[in-house]
Amino acid sequence: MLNYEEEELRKFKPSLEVTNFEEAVYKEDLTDMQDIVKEVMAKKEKTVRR
Amino acid sequence: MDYTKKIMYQSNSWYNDGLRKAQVRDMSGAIVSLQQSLQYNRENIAARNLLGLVYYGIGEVSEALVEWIISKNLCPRDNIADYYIKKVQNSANELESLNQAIKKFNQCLVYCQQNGEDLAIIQLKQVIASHPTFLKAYQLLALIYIQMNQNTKARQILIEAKKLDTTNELTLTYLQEVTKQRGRYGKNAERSFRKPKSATVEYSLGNETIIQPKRSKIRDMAQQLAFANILIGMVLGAALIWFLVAPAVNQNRSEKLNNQMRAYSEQINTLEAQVSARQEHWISIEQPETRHRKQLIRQRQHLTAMRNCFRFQVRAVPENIVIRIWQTRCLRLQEILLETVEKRCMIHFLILFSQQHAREDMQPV
Repeated sequence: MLNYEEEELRKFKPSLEVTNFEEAVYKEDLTDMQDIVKEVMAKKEKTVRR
Repeated sequence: MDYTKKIMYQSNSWYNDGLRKAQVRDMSGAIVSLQQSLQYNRENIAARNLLGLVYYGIGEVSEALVEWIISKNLCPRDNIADYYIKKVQNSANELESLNQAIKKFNQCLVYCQQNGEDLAIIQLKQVIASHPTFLKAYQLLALIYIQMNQNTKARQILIEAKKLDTTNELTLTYLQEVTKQRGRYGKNAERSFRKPKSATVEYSLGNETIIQPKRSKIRDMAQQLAFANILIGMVLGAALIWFLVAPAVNQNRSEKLNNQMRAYSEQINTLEAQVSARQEHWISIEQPETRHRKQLIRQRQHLTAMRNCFRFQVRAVPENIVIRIWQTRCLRLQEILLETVEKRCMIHFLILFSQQHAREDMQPV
């Protein structure tokens, strides 16, 4: 049996309105695997220099 | 191999997976795969544009626009995202109606949290009418129907939702729940749980919701009912005539026939009696006549025979003997003639006899 109010209804999030999508563009996290690898390598280089 | 190339290969692999899923309208799977692809390489333009298209396909227009705008920022030239954005922005009215639909959906969520499911259902139907690819609206409407134990309606809505996204987890869960409830309570369970039907019809005209009293089915069927009533009346009238009036008419007719038959039979009896009486009379008349006639013929024959014999004897025997014989025979004949009924014959014969006798008396013996 579905738990209507406490479980199922909470799965539904408000949809993004068309007028507010610019804000969403700015909030979008564009970090990818290359960024993470670069960051990891940079940290590694720092530790090697020390 | 350079790690950047490895990452790009991985990103492309996820993109291909997402494309395959999008082609069979497995939107949820495609979204996951394309997001994976973008996590490996955010500059995978094809994956981002396809993700935007998949979002658009399930009615998430804003999400689609976000992906296409980012795509366009990352790759301003020869990017199909530009075409998509222009296409959406050019149809301003459609975009406005989509925006209104999304707003109504968000409002419906608030209604549901405030136990206003009836109002939410009305709003969600409007949302679906104006934005037919909005998957979330279908799912929320189905959830409300399930909550109100209107499983048939929920099932119909979920089937429509499944056409938009074949493997959506929420849709499949709700479908399974509907199937379970139908199996548990049977089809009749829905009727027992169903709320009484509202006596009003609601529809939207522009931005206004109009509520009208519902047209009753009986009023709609008035003409058909009138025709049916006339037919029933005709049938009843025919039955009344057949069972009540017709037997009385038949009885009168049969009585008349019986009377006529009786009169005819009486007439026949009297006529038969008359005929039989006549026949008896005729028989009584006919029998003596024929008998007398036969006797007369026989006597005439006898008489002629005797006459011939007499003539022959007269020539052969002496006259006095002849006369005696003649006299005896005449006497005998006289006796015979007396027995007969024909007096005329006898008289005639007697006359003849007397004449003959007178002639013979005059002659000497």
